[in-house]
Amino acid sequence: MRLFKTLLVSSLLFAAFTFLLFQSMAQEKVNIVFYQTGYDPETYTVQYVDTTLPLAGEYSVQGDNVTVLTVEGRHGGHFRTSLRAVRLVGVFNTSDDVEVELHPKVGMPWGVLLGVVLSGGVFGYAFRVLGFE
Amino acid sequence: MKPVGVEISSKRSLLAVMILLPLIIAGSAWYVMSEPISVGVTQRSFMTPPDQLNASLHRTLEGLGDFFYRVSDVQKDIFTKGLRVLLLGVFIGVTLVSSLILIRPLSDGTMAFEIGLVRDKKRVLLYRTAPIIVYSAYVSIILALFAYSVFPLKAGLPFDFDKGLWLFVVLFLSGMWGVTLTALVGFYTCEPAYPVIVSFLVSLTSFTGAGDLFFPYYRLLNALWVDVKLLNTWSIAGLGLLFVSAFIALHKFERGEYY
Repeated sequence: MRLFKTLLVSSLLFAAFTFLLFQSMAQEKVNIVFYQTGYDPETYTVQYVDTTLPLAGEYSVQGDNVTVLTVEGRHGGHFRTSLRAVRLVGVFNTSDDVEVELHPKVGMPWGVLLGVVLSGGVFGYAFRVLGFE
Repeated sequence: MKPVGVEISSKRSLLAVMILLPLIIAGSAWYVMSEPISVGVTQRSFMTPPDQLNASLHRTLEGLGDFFYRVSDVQKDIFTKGLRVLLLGVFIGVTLVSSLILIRPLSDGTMAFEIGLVRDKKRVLLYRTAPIIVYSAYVSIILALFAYSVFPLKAGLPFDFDKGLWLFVVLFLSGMWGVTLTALVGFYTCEPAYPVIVSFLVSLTSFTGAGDLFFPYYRLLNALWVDVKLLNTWSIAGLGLLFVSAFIALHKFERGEYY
């Protein structure tokens, strides 16, 4: 195998690795259950949970009557945070346990993947131009 | 003289190292960064009658600042760890590659043959060092791209284009420190194993106070990103070691006798 091909294969493998990494990150969702202990029509139950997130960035909240407190402020169904810590606050009036899911929105970094493959090609070509092979 | 690429291409193990090196560095940086934040999950609740709900909601803010503060501390640690793994990985990896390309031919006699053929030691040395420099530029540019895309997600810090560029420069410099250290140790010992051992020792010192002198690149990165004043005298001396060791290695190589 020649040096040009070596760098090209290396950069393609690296791009595939990054691609799979982002695919797996997009599937990491956070699941939180608010357990209800009793039901009384006269009172509301206010519950709050501190939780840490696997990633910073954008999330969408699946679940009703839940407010998300982040460093940036107070959010409803959709939030973006730079600190991987949120507090979920829920006001409930039911006897059933309430399940809330946070789905991360991770965009695929196509520019970076392209840059990796391109730099593999460019530096591999540099080997050829500089006369190393 | 046979092009150096032909020699590299005929060694399967060296090719495997060159292909897998960036993957291994990025994978271990990812592994170090992806440990979960273990700041306890706490759940609290209270009951309130409907008419006092709005008045009681401020109770949900209790202890929030403390929680945020602890997580931001952990996040800073994660960022530091990831950067350290990238810098040390480039350093050790380039040491390994350059001791295989530069020092192994010196110990098995290929280099002596080339010197006899070309009769110009500097040219032989340059001819073997240039591919390593191009390769370490390649490794540092794709690792900088990796950091640019992944680090903001794990560490939450904004990572703009300038920071990525400086990261590339510093990764490349730490690779160059690997090359010159290999040359310095290898030309004196003529054994490919010693530079690798020395690079491991140098990476170990980077976790102690002596790291300012022997591996100042983490501090250099901080200085370029935040404030130049973070560079102290020891770390400037450490940057100077890069040039001093290159000079001494060149001197030793030109004075050396190879048969």
